[in-house]
Amino acid sequence: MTAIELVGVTKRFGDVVALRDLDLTVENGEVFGFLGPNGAGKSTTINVLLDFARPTEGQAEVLGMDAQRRSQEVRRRTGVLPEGFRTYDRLTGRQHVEFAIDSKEANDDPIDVLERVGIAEAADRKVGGYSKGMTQRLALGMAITGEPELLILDEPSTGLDPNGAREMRELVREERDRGATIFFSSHILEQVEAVCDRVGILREGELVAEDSVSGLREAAGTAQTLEVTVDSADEELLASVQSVEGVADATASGDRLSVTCDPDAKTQVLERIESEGATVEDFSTEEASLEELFVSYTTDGQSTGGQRGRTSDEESSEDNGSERDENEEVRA
Amino acid sequence: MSWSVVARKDFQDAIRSRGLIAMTVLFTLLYAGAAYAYTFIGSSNPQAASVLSLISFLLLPATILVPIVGVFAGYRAIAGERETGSIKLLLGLPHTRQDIVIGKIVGRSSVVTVSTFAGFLVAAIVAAVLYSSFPAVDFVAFGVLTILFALAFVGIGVGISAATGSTTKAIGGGFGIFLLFQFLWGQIPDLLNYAINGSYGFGGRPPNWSFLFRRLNPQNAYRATVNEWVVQSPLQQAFYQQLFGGDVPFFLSPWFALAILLLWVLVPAGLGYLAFERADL
Repeated sequence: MTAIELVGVTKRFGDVVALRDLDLTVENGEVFGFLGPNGAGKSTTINVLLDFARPTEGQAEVLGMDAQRRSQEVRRRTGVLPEGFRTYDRLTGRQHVEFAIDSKEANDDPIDVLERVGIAEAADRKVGGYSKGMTQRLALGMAITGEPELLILDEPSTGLDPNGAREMRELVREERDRGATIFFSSHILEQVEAVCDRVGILREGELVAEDSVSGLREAAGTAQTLEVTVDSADEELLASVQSVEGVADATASGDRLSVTCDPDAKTQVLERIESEGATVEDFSTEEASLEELFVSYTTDGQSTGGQRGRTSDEESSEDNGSERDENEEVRA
Repeated sequence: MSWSVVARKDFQDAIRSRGLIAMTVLFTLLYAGAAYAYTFIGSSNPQAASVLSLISFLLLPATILVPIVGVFAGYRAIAGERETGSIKLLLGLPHTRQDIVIGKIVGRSSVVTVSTFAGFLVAAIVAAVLYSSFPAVDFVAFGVLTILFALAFVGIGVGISAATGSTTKAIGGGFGIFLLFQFLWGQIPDLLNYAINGSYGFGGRPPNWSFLFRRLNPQNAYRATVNEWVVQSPLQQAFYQQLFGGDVPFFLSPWFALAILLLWVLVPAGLGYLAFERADL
């Protein structure tokens, strides 16, 4: 059985196309990382799954039910951590969790829930006085009440410090081990690669990649970054290099070109540079990281260097710390 | 019942709002103060002042104040949640949008009821102490009708709140409707007549539809029910008897007025729900 199935979903807001003919399948029991830069359409997709927004075309099914027509039943069996939500400042943490429990007709103990997300000591304080991270933990607690079959977490580490983000991932693993399916959106790859079985990468409303994390790692391992120093680089040269077969991305910084490509394409790239009349003064190759691959999927040959600046205070994920350290050197 | 969970949460939340607490205090002071002041205005002998004439005295401020309270209690109900984003938390839980609208109306109505009840209770105590007699039944009937009148404006406030995503539009729309009822509604039959026949004033007895139209204003419907059932003033009936020659149309009966009040609770909220149901959040 599939937990989530989108078939040909298009969503337009006036002239703006937020989702373009999106097909997406998430199997039961898997942790699916839904990646993409801000504005790619991740939240719109989630809004369609929860019937906050209706698709212009196409169909969405969650837990085998039509996401629009049977939304209440979908949400009865789904835990939701929305993005950009607000809490009720005048109510306490306990009252919030009680509200979630009553709404889902569950019978959890509010304090147990608050303990799992690490804010039990603040249970009887008004939420208006909570920090951003505590609010996020509270909403996560509301999401996991009632042992939902599916968890939809939209940018769950927003506002969390590194420790909080790690605890959140631990919670995701616990929920997966319980048997829940987890649909986890983020604009930062490193947050999902540590916990996800499979990832989908969304860009401008289209799914540009869908693979297991190991599959993506393999792709990352084979792709290489070719660093070429030339006597003079211009837009024309860059465009020409980008058009070489096997080149995923190419950027220029002064007289240095960074080209992400298949290993087989290296020679062609160098030949192309020469044939454009430029002189290769020096070159070296580096293995591309998963992150670079993600960046190349989600940017349109824009400045890779600018895009890769960390957009969160997330710590390096445990699993590939060493890989990242190598990259730091490459960048330096 | 999903809506009752929403209503309970909403009541817990709204009753803690400073604005609503301030409103309750204002309400209480007005009614208790009026009950006290009336012993001086109504008669040279405080003992002779009657609760019934106090109620007719209170009717004018109530028809103005209660709608403001109702709109104020309702306008943020749904638009406020959409503006802040707490609606995502609310609808992330298994509630339908219908549950939300019903729950919000019940929750906000409860707040207004508590607030009105507090005001009336204090006024009743003042009246019971100061006045020679205290017909509790009349006072309770007045309270119930006033709460129903308040609910009509809660329905209008929540309805507009559901239909628009903005609290600014909701409060503007809510008070716009209040001003329409307060100042313009009674002129509309005359204006229509002027537009169609070119003459101002009907010349003789106005047509029946103009009476119906005026009665559709919840303020008039409320006044009619209180006058008929609580104050039991003979003047209104005598006026209609004379005007219609003993054949008073059914729509001027107090039961019809009560139905109008109920419709004002339900129809704007229902229309607001229909718009909310279709909206992308």
